[in-house]
Amino acid sequence: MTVGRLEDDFSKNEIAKRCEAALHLADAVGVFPTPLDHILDRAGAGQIVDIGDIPQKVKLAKPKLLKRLLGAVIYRESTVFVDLAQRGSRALWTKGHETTHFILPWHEASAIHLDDNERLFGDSAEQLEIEANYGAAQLIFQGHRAMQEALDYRHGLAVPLMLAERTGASIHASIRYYVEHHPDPMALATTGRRRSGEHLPIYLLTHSASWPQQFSRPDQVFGQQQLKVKSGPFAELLSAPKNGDDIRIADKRLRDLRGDLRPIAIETFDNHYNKFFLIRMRGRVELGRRLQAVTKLA
Amino acid sequence: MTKLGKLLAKERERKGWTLREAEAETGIHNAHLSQLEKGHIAKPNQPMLWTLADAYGLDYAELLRMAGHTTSASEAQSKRQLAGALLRGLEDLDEDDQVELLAQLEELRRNKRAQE
Repeated sequence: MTVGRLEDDFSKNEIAKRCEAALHLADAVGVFPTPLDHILDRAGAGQIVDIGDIPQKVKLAKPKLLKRLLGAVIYRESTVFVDLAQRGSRALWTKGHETTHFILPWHEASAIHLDDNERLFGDSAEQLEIEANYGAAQLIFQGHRAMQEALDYRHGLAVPLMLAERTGASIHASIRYYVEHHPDPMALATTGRRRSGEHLPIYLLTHSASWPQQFSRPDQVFGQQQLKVKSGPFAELLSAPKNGDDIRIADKRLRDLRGDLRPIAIETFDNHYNKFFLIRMRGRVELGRRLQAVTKLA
Repeated sequence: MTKLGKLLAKERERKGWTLREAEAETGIHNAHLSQLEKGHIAKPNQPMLWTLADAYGLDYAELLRMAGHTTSASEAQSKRQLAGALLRGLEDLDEDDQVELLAQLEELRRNKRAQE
């Protein structure tokens, strides 16, 4: 299960190119958190309306249709709606998603985009929604810029936790961005927190571009829909001691596609909504260029 | 060759571009362009269609329709336009009218559900 992942390179490049142009137009390159209001303004959005600004009387009478609505774009009126009453990182993601709808010219053929929880944070299979989420990450993490900063640190889950603070993105989005953009082989399983018997439900499996060149598909490593945590490597990991960032790490070996056993580290982190299980390569020497900062994190 | 493929080939030739020149103009690989023209790609994605419409000076909506994107898009769009009208209504009306409008819409929705 790899949900909501944009696979074709042409679309990725087109979206990245247009997001980059929007960042430049707004003089926002390298500014974190990305000033999305300014980007929208420079892109020609006449109005950014907070859906939460609807008067209390109206809110009480709000039909279900509007209750579900977290973001919207109406092109004819150059208006972007965002529910800013959401938690900060969710509001930022919603704004990034709607900004992408607004700046990608082929999205305008739909005239209006109305986005609910599923389109923004779920596993929507609609192409334009997948593109808008890809663009949101491009804008919030500024393409590879956040990754370039991340690569200064020793690899592991502590790094996207820092990225989340720096960019304003959610921990969930930051970990996913980190794994999908990392040059080294990495695989990630995001699960629920409540066990069903011996397992945790898997919500998302994803990996870096170089993972499939060296290892089996993530579902063959973690499981297709359920992660076994009663016994085996993930059970051992969950009973390993936590470090200062509440990250647990276990050293293991994983057979690669050539049949060789390779040293890996499995890490897990719980953000009170999900559990994240990361597999990364274990090097003989693991030094980041800013070891001091990592020491502080860890 | 599909209708879309024929049109794309004709417009590229009208521009006097080889497949490689079209690749240089659009960023779409010449082998992919060739497959599009021969109709070997059943439903080209929207960023690609928009790029081709832009490069050849074609109507994007027409390319969308020819590529088979329109049906689902138009159904979804009519629902979205309805909801969009609701949003616009909320912006333009005063508070009492907004409450009234929403109450009426909710009533309509209930009636519709009762009929079903």
